[in-house]
Amino acid sequence: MAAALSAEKRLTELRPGVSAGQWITLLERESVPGGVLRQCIHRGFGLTRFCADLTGVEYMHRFTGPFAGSGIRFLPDTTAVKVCSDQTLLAVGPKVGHCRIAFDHLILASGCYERPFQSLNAAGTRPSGIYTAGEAQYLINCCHVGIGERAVILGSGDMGQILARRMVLEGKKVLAVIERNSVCGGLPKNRRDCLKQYQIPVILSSTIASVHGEGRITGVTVQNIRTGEEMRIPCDTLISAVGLIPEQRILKGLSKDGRFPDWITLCGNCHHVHKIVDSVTLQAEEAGIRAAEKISSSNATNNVDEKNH
Amino acid sequence: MGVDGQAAVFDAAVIGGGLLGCFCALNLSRRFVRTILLEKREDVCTGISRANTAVIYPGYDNHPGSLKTNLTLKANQDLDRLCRQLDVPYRRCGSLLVSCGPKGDQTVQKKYRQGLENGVPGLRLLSARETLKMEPGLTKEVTLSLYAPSSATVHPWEFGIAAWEAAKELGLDTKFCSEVTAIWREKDHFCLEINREQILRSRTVINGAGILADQVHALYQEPLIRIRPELAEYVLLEPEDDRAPGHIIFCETEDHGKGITLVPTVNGKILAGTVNRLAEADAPLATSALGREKLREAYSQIFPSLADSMIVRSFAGLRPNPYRPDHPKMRLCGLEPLITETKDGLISLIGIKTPGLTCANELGKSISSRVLEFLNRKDAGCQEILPRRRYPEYLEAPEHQKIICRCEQITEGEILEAIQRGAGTIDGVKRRTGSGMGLCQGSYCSARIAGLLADRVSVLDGQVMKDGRDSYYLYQTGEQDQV
Repeated sequence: MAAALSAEKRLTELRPGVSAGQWITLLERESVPGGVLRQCIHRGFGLTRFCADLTGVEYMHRFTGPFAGSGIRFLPDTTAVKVCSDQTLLAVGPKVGHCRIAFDHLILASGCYERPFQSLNAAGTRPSGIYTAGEAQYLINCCHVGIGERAVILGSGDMGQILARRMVLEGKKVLAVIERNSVCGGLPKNRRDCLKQYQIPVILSSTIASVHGEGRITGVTVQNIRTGEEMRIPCDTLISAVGLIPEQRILKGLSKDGRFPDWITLCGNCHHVHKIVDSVTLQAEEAGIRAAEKISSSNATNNVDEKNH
Repeated sequence: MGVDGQAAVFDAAVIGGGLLGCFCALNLSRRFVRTILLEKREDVCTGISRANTAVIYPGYDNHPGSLKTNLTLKANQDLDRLCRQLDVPYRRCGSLLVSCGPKGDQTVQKKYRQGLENGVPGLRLLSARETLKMEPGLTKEVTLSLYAPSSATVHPWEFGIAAWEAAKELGLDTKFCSEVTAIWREKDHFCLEINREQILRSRTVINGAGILADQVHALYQEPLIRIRPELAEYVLLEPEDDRAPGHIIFCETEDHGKGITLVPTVNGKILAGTVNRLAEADAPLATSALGREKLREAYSQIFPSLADSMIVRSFAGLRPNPYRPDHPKMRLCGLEPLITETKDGLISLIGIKTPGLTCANELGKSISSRVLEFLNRKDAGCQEILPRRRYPEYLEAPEHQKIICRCEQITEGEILEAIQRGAGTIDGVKRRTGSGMGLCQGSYCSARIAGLLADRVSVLDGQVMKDGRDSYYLYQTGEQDQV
């Protein structure tokens, strides 16, 4: 959204008189814009950009307002499934069906996907009740459902800590936050506001060695990676916050020697994982400006050409 | 116990909705036998059929003339036609049985000769150089390999589910969440007690209860063959580059241990298995750290370019290892019958391990012939499998063209269709569409699929389950209503 808005603004400056929004299409897989910010109901957003301590949702609204008033073409519920080397992409969605979209420049702002617990080395059964932090956050904050009563959280990064606090605030019990490193992860602010304030126990230098339970999860075995000492914690929920992986999969096959063609710009967390959202927005806006300047200097008129196939 | 005097008597009752059960049911239905399928769980293909090596074997592993060989050869030949009829994707990728030393070479040569005798098509012995040309990612230590172009792979559960759906179209009845708790004979039919409360009558019984098949048979008669369950561990890899194996790779080891198998699956991943250990019949399907390490070591050794591939998930499956309790060494001796029968028409499939997936349809065919004999009925021919029922109102409707599973690019329409076709749990949808099988392992799509399920069906306790009883997707204690 930020990239699209800044691109529109810059285009209007460069080409006064054209309706710049017509030159830009925003594809979004969800029904509304905002991405992961929609489920971030905690504070700490916008400190540098707006000099205000906003929630993720409030931060998002600073952009959705102007976006709604812009002329940018918005395709909700539309997933870009593949970008091709001939500067087209395949998209799927209720509005467009299966279509191919040609473009002059592509800005990818697809964020991250979460590394799932299943890809770690944990042994044991495969019960229900294991969520990634993002999945848990979506269920609690956007679907307003309880996911479980007694949780263990794996990973003490910001995501793990924020989820730990959320569970406590929802009236659930967080039995432990488990961290592989010998120090707690995340921003110091989160450590203070989440773990310390709510007295959530952290087990350092440890990982989850195995999972128990056949229907729903009934417990985990926590292992100290230095001493090998094991401890079983009964629980009904396991939330894993073990890392984000930049979502670049739709660009598969396009990189040469680790570089993408110059008609693609990556911004935000799909470029690299940022610590705070303010720097995500900054990078997105720069990408928007650069793309606008490029389009404006080439003689493109209307760059969107759709073909159903 | 409610006994209904007017209760219908089925011609055949199939116990167990795994691969074998589904294919028995299909072949019985095709031959006009009035059949009911009884399944303990809420869906078909949730046991052994869910986690196995997914290989359609070429037919060089068993002795010439044995039932397994005959069935395997026929089934392998028939695969293209069957998959087309059932509308199931498969990959005829061929296989390489590789060895890295003199002992392995001997076995490879022995299998080659056996394969020739069995009449396996297209078999070729390849030198190290030829092998590496075919699979450049293989270890350079390879000394010899046996190439079998007819080996193939399917998703076993897709195969079984398709058979079940086809059987339903031909009139099969199905009862889920129905465990057979007792079997006895009354006049000219069997009585099956279900969940200790209901009785079902059938003239013949086909027992395809998988890991519990011996126990089900024992409800009526002590079987000759018993099952010692074995747990098999697998890992699923997302190959990084195009140097991943394009063929199924079997390995002959130098130390008589069991070699690893690598399978390029239908959906582009690499399945590596297995590390086996004995288990209890009701053992949880748990993987072990040791098993996974062993697997990793084994596949990195034989296929070094896979060493850095990301492990998408690891899982365990059960195998029904047959043995004879009356044999001094508790072994099977010589050629044992795969099919255990009582005189009055209880037919059990006990301990059909490999190649159960390959032979499922052929076994179903021969069992349906046996059932006709028991029923004293003439062969009235065989109905065609009907084209698979699809639901264009979901699949093609524009409003459902929204992608729910990003990794595998599954649309809302496909998920709704799977639910319409009988999926009642998140993993039921997964087995029908492939959703949640990608790199994120369902962390994005599970919540959305749960929402679609909650809107439509509620198979178990009115709640969305991941896979089977008690696997609540959302969990709350106390008396609050759940969403």
